[in-house]
Amino acid sequence: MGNESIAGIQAVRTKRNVKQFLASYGFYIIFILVFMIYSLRAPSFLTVTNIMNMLHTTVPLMVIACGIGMVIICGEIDLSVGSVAFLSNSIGTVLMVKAGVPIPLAFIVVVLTGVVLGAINGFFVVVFRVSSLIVTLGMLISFRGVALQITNSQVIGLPEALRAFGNFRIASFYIDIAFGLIIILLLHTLHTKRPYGRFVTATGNDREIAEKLGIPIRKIKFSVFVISGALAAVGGFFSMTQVGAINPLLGNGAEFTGIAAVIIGGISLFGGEGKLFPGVFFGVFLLTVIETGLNQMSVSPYVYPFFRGGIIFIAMYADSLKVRLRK
Amino acid sequence: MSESYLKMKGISKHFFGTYVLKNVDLKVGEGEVLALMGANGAGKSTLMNILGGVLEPNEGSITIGGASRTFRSVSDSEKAGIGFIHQELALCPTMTVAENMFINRFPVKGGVIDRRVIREQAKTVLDTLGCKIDVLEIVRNLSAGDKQLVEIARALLTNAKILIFDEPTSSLALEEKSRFFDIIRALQKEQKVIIYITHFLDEIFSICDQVQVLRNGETSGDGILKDYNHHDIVSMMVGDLDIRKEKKISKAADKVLKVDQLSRTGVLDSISFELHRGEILGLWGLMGSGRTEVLRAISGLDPIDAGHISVNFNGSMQKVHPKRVKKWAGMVTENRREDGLFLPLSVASNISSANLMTLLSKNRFTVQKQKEEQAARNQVEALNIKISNLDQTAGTLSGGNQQKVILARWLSKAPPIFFMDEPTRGVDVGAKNEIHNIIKNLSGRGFSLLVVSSEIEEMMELCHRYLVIHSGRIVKELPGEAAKKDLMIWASGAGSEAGSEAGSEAPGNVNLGTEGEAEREK
Amino acid sequence: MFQQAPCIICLKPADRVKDVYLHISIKKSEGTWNMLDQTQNEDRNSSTTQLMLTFFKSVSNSPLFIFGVIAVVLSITVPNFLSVRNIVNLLTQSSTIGLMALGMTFVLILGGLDLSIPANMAFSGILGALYMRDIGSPVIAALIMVAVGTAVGCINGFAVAKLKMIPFIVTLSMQAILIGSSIWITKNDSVYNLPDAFGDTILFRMGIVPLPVLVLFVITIITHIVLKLSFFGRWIYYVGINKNAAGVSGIPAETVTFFGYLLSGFFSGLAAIIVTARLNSASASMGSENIVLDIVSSAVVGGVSIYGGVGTALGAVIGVIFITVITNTMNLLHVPYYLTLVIKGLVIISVVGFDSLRSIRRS
Repeated sequence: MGNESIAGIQAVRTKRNVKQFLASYGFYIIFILVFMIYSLRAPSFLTVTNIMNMLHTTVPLMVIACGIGMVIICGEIDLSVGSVAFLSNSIGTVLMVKAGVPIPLAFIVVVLTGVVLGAINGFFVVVFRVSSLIVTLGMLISFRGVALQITNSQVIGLPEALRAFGNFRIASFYIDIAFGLIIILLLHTLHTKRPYGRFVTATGNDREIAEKLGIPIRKIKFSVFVISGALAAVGGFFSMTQVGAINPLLGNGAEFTGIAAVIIGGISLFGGEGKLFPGVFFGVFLLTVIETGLNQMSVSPYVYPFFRGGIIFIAMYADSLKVRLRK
Repeated sequence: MSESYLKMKGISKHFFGTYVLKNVDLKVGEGEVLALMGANGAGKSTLMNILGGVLEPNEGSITIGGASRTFRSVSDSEKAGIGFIHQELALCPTMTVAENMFINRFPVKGGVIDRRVIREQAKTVLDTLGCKIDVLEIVRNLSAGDKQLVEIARALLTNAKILIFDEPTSSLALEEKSRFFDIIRALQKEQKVIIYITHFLDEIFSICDQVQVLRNGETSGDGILKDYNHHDIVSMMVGDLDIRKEKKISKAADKVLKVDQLSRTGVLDSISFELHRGEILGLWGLMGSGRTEVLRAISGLDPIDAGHISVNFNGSMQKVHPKRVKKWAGMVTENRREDGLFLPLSVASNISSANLMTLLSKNRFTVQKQKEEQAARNQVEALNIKISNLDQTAGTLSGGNQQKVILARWLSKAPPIFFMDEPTRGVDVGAKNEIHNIIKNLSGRGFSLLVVSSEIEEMMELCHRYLVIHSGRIVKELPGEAAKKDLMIWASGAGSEAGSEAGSEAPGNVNLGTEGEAEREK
Repeated sequence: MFQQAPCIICLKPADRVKDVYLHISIKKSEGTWNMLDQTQNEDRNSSTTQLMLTFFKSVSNSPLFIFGVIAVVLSITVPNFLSVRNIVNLLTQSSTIGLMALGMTFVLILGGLDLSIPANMAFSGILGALYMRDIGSPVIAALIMVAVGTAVGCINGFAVAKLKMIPFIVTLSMQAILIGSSIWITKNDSVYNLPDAFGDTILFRMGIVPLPVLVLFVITIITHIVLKLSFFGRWIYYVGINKNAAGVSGIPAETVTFFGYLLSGFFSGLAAIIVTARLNSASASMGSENIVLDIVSSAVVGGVSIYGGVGTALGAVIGVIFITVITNTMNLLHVPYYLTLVIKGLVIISVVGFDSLRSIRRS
């Protein structure tokens, strides 16, 4: 009976290991499969131009997802990113177009607005101790309301110089890909190589232990919302310049795709775990690849949200499975 | 030996008028290992929390290296060179070993954390501990023993001179233990001042020089360890009086619960026992011995890997799934605020929560308020729960009354079996007595109880029979008349050396007077 | 890529205040507050004075009290507020949000969150509408709506209760899936040309009261009774307050959680029937995420805690009426629609903030 039970336990363990492996690396496998299928079915898929185009499309969401990633690693959530992106860029655009403010100054205003909006989120979370889910859900709607007011719900075209910047490329390399990569790598460095980033991870691990170790958790929490706000503003800026105008749908649904990308990239919603690079980069890219591929296979764009929802559902299940298997 | 490096003098501490420490002195010199012993609630933790800056004493002074010190916070104490290795480790599981060691003092070079330095320093410190953990390993993947080493290494990094170990071996495997002792000896050679808190008697004799025993907040004995044997220490811990009342339970009473070969990998190992009608069976063991886990496993709160449970169903024993045992058993958990009470709800609805289905009106859907209140009122009166009215919320009650509310919940359901984990934790003396009476009364009325408590006096007061548990195994069954010393010795792991299933567990040779007695019982 | 997402399109204010009941006359224009207060009174069978005391205590203790005062002031100062047409309109608007808020109340008391309610409403509405338009019987169409809504709720419940996934993520992805499917099925167009019988039946007026208002009224009372008086309701509170303790007490916590989400889906299906009837069409835009904010803020303003274990069905519905009053007043005052979004967002945060500050001070 002893042997039997040992064999049983071992069987259970092997099963667990397989599950654990799938939960951790399943998305990389899906990624490779998807990539292969598309390459075989659409000949234009596996070309430098197409890959560069996909990276280009990825940039705005990648920047925004980095901010969400930091917040989630810290054990909180930010649903307001899309609206922060819209509001800060609305202000910037109106200043540029209506008041003739020079572009660099307007860009600074955009980022600063993002910082302030992030700080508002952080303030409610840290000082009033309202759950970040509710705060940022409220702000998701409020900020968008203000922005719609500012832009009068209209599409406003950008100055020529900015429009050129958004789609500027050398050969097939879009310049904003470089900016996007720089930003994600800088944040990755901040997260993994600076004491601050380690404090963020520690806070997300366990608030009480972090406090015991003398980490100023309130300041850390506040700051991740500020970072997320600033990055949302910058991401929105890239998105706007790519389109060449600001439109009322800017950033709509970014919180959802952002969270999806972050979770697919292996950052746990339970906090304290995961990396921005390659995690978030990979997550965002996978989503783009899937949608580009669907597009090239002439699937109706109305189906995309369905796929996206399905993928995040699976990603989330994998995440909770990982946590449960560990116990 | 000249002046001791660490001296605590006349330390007193009281909470709400009850003294936890009364005029306690403690001194340890460089290169010495002091064993701080005492039963639960003797004041060891309070004393060490004062030294660690967690608590401030009401009276008394601390002198370190000849200079007088006062600690207002943990960081004050750290600055004075004190490293406190808590029983519950403060590690971030998703971060690496090196990061955990440097979490609050990262060296920065060129704007980023100097990974080379932390890697090397971490490695150096771990090497001095003779430990081969990869410093880049994620802490979650380490064994319990390795985690502890990381924590020790972190304390050493701060150049702590005084090291406090609180129950360091409770989660360690055998070989980890002996490696840990080597480390203690190495630290001793480096002239560190070490305070070692433990329940395990055999351990202190293999590594400690000095001993100090606390009992009820006072020093009941101290000095050089060699001058004492196991018996002396146990006597100092438990006192001499052995209040043993005659408690008889008819052997013929029928079984109500039978647990067979219950196992949970890494936690419980082949637990088997029987519980009889009207019996109070004590599950006696130290913290971390698996005593709580047994209760949780047999009441279906934790999963099990092997074994089965039978209950008496209309006169015959029938196997039941652990999840269904709840139908026959009431569970009083050790942590009433976290998994016992519904704090914001009224006393009445707390009491009725386990028993809602019998309080329905004729439509079988709505809860009948009068029935519920009547049932609650009966219990409140029977158990003398002090409340202003039944709508008072459970969160506003005192600990004793809260505990009684939980008992009331199960009494109103009246299942044949009760599981009680620390039924009187955090309860004042008066309420404690009342709860003891409730338990005895239950037993007298034919209910069967399985009781866990960390207070030996409580166990001796209540139990008809003991199962001693150590490292997830039942190592001994003792009769209700068993002496306090026997209980202590078996639970501390020393007894298994004396018993015939010898050898596997406790290192170091233990010679006890109870040896013969134990063998005779075998 | 995200900005082109054909995801969620805001309902225009004109849609939301669409006035379907132009010709209804109300004899007595008694405030809704009175009406609902009485229902709360009827639930308890103790003496009147004690009852009024308890009621006053519970009301003055909650933000509701302040908001009630604001609402009264608004109703007096704002022109056209007390017109019969406006009040009927207001109540009818409340009926759909109210049903969804009742569903949300179950989930919130359980300590969860269901962000998929409006999307579920849109999705089940569309399926039912398609059936009606292409195949037949409005009765079966209505059943389809409820069945689809409930089925979606079951999936949410299974994921949260059995798979132990985080509620807001489960329901957020469910929302995306449902909106995606809705747009897909309808090609982002409205499903119209519904049989007249459907709208006529659902919008039938009983004397002064339109059927949806009556439905909300009856269902609110039933829900209130279920939550406050039945064993199932008790279990919901127990689980929401302390899941571990509930488990120890032998309460089937997983099953209770499952049913909470199931009911939330069920109520979404009911709401779908009314919304489809009112608009006489169904489209993906019915499931705008702004409605989630309306639902959550109504419930929270009505005293339902987002941390679980606290709140009543009656409170939630009063919250709905309050939020509708605010929206309505701002419409009448010609406050831009977008500004109403800001105000609502701030209301919910300040209510929750007020609540958590109070609990911090207490402990």
